[in-house]
Amino acid sequence: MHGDANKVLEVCNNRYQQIFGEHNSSSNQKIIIAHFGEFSQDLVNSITNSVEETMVEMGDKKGVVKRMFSILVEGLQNIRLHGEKDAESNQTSFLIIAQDDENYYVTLANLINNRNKEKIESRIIEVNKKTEEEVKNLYMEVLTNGIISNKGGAGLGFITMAMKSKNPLGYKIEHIDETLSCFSLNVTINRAK
Amino acid sequence: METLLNPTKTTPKITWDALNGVLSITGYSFPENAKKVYDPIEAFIKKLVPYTHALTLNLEIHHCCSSSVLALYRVITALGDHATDGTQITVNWKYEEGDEDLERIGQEFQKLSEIPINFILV
Repeated sequence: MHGDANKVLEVCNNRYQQIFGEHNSSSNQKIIIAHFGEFSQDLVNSITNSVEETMVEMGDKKGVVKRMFSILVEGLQNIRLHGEKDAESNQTSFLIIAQDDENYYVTLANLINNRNKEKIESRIIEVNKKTEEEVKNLYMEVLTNGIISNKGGAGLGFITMAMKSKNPLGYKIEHIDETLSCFSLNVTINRAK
Repeated sequence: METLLNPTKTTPKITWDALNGVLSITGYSFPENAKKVYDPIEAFIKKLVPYTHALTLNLEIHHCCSSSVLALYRVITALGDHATDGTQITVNWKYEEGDEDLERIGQEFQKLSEIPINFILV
């Protein structure tokens, strides 16, 4: 069956455990938040607020907090607007945020249709090839030509995340079956910048 | 003062002060569907601007998602497109430390819409 829920769960959960484990086993890293499953609008609001509060308490710079907030909003809206569902209508996805002294490491993952794999990859590759200045120019270009889709997206998610992180976007696409893959995106935010 | 939109956790407060011609957008703006929030504002501007001799748009947004940025661009463009020659338009854009990207975006809006924007760091 296409999008078999058990198979979906297995592949996504393996990826989740792997990333979680890598952060957890590193002696200088700490996991701030981790969620596996669906993301309701309420959950998105509560995650973005609590991460913001945590960062303020830890003394992160206002600019870094703001950039994290933007990345989370764009990333979680991407998941909710574009994340595919399995055969049982679960929008399986996950979020992990870890930190060390230098960086925050954000991983956002959702299901994608294999049809869209190339489109997603080419968008990320395009953004990663650009300098910080070129990413800003691309943002303005898409913005001024842009239309808001019926779902509410502006086509600026990846560009905004790259612009706010000031780092290349990392990603991995893992095949699940003929229809679906697990797409995970890694965004690094430098705490000193 | 007329409230066009009451604020929520993800949407700003939007008010219209007809006496002084001041449209204010204040607060958070990261709704999932920015169209729902800003399409009515764009429509309001289209109806209003041709009959207004002076209009001030005050923006003070703390967290602005990408689709809201695009929607704001359309709001500012609508101001320019529907103003008659005599309409005096002022845009005051307050932004916080750490939102320098917004200032840069605003400057680009200014260039494209030919509407002067005052940037105020709060």
